[in-house]
Amino acid sequence: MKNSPSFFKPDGLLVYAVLYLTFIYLPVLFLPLFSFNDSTYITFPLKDFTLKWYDKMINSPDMHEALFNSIKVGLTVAILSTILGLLAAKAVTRYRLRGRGPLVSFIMIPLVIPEIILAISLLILISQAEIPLSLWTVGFSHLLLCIPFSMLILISRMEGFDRSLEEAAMDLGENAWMTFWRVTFPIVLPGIVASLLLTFTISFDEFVLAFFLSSTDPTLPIYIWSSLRFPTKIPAILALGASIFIISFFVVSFSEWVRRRGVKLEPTSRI
Amino acid sequence: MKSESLRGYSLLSPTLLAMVLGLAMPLVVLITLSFWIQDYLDFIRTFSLKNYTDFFQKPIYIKILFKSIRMSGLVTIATVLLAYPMAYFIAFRVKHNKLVWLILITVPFWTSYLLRVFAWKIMLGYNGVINSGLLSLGILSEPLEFLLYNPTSVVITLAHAWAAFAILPIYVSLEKIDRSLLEASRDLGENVFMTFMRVTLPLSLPGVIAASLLVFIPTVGDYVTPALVGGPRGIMIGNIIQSMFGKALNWPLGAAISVMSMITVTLMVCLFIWGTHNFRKRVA
Amino acid sequence: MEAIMKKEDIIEQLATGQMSRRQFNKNLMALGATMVMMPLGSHMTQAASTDHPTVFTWEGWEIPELHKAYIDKHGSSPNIAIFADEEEAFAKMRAGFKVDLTQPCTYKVPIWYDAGIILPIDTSRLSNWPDIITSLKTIPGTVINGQQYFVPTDWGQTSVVYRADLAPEYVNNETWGILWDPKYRGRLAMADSLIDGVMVAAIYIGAKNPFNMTDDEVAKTRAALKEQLPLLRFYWGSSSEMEQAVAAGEVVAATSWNDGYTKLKSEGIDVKYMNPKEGAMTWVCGFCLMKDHDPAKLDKIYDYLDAYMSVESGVYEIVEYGYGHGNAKAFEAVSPDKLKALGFSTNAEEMLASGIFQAPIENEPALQAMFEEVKAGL
Repeated sequence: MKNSPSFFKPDGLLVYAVLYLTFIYLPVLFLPLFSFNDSTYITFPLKDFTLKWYDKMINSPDMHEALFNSIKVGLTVAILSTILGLLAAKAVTRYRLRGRGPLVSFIMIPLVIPEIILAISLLILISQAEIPLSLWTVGFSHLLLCIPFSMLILISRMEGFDRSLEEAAMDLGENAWMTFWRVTFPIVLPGIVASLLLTFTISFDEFVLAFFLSSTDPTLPIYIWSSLRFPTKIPAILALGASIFIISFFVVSFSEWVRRRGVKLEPTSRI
Repeated sequence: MKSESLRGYSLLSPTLLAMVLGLAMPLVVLITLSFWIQDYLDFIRTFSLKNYTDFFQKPIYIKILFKSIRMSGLVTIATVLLAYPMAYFIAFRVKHNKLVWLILITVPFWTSYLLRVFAWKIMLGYNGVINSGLLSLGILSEPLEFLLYNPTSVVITLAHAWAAFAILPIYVSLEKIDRSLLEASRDLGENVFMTFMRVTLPLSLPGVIAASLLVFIPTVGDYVTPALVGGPRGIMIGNIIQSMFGKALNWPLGAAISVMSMITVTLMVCLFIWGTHNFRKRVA
Repeated sequence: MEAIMKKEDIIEQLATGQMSRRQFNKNLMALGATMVMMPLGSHMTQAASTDHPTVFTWEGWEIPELHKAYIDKHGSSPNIAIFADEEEAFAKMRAGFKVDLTQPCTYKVPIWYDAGIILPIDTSRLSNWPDIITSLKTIPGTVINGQQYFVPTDWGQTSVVYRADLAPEYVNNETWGILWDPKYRGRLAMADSLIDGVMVAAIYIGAKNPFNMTDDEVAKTRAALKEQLPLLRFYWGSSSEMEQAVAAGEVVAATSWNDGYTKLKSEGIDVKYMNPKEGAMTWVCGFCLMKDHDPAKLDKIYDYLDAYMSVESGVYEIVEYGYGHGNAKAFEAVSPDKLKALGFSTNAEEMLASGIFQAPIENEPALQAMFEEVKAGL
């Protein structure tokens, strides 16, 4: 901490960070609270404590299926769009490309185009090609949506990247792949992580494209959106939201704990 | 030179291929549709500017488009300003477990968007947390009704929903800054604030730009949030477009409104990039 | 959950640089393989049921309890695709989504017929057809050129649900007018739709035929909607949104379907469901056979319809959902007390006769555009 360039009063920034986390977490924390509340309606005052919504959640296979569909699509899309975004960002920042401007704008179109239009035209295209609707078609549409996000993040990371580092590596006899691996990759890693996190989140929450391009396996947002008609279904969905939240929180803490232990036991294993 | 361009393109080609495959057709459909006319269930497939004249002549579309842009602008400013110190904190103050912080920030956003909107209703609603709290403290005698179902609640909900989209890009660009530059600046006797203005902020600008775009562009077209927390006067251009393709059954007009909204957003974005570019030049 | 954990670990190790490159490659390959396998896996389960028809319907009406006879006969439920609103379903089908059966409401049938996406249904193949409530069989717009294009299965009312404790003066004066009462400014809600929203305004202004209004009546409806806008808390898109607000006392009165009333009541909230003097609306939903259906699955399609129309399904729908069912015998199978508690009169025909049947709306797109303008404050 001593050598770190801290420009604001250290405490001020820490206090802000805590306040900000409270802002992000506070509304979300009401989900677990109401998931234990013995009432169909999500209003104050709270009634008795109950576990019946969790019981309902565990006993609704449709919900599980929708959840796993969303996770599958989300993971696939996050990885693919980050790979494609990385390649594209590298091409754009590393090489002088003719027509760079228009190309980048073209790739950014999914950000501007209303999702309903993307959804309907893709559906027309896909049904013309006689490709049956499935999670693949949902995934493809999410990929289109996510690539601009990946690319923008990675471009902002790679812009101004010192090319001489790569050239030095090449001069030292590394091939292109090894150069990428040893020099470029570690530098863009924070961008890759950010891209994976964001694109997973986007796909996991996306509704319009998923509705139009899915067939008989719904994703979680479709399931939730269509369940809004039934207030009796909502507490179980809250229970699911709370579980996702608590489990991810636990997983993060656990992996951090494992990492710390790992560091202690095998300090040399780091590269 | 030529081979460089070629190499660049070969790197770009998979992405470009996916995009051409998925985007060329929607764009063609969109533009063609916008020049057709809806006739009950069919389209009159001759070139016509009717939808565009409708767009400019009926006050509703332009009014709502500008309202949406104003609201998204507010959301973007709020989100980016609030996110910057947080990103700064993670980039410069957190030493060993940055990833944990990044995930900590993303975890709330894995609990489906619709549920988070519900959560905001619990916060802002008539019997919600804020009203109940103020009532029990004796500050209020009647619950406040203006907290929910108006444009303000849309802005609050969106600013919350897109927080991660602002923090991550800003963090990524702050993380890139060479620490020795900051130390050099301080060694030269610059104070904290000047170092921030002259070194940190300009260098993190790509991230700020990316964050602003990632928040601004998609929120202009959002229709779920306004529909759920916007109340009777909270609708945005996305709701209008959605209704043209659904309830109002006028795809061509919906397409024309989309084209106009895309053009407007693109112009706004260009203006913004040009502005920040100038700012960067001036600082440098 | 396992999938998430895996991803977290990998990112974690990557970010801290703990993972060796070989390990990373291995993980990458494993991930790639699972990535490819996972969607394939779901594809296979789907492939296993390709001999079943696909039913495109509302969430909640796809549950096994409503087509038990089909499962008994064919071993499992058909393939289900879900929609949350008919207009989006229509857009999806027009863009190329192929299904065998859909479940719209009556007022959509003529438009779907005009769009050429539905086919007549051979009622002689349905053993439960004779038990269907007679007045439901001939709702205008569902019988075209003497052919049946619609099998009515579900019905209910659109009326006002209101808090009797908060608006006691309406208990003996039930009228749609409560939705225009300035006393409840900011405490009212309307459905965000033509059929359950704009048509309410049309009934309120006394339109002779709300579903086919004169220009003058349209102007009056518009004025009524404009007058109402500042009084509204919101237009509801999903009934749970409305029910939450009524339960909280945030909203005093709202348009609602009868199941909303049933649910609020069962949660112990002091609500009443109006029988407005201007008349409540009756909605009827049911099945349409799609032009794109697979002829090889026709037997199963009719089996599904028949199962849905059975007394068994009807009793479930009446008791669990609080909706009406098309099968008259289903009403006889529920005790009169239970029916009364659910807000049904024991004679379904009588109840249907007292309401205004929702019919296809003339000039729907223009009315929708008008509604959008009002909502935009114009």
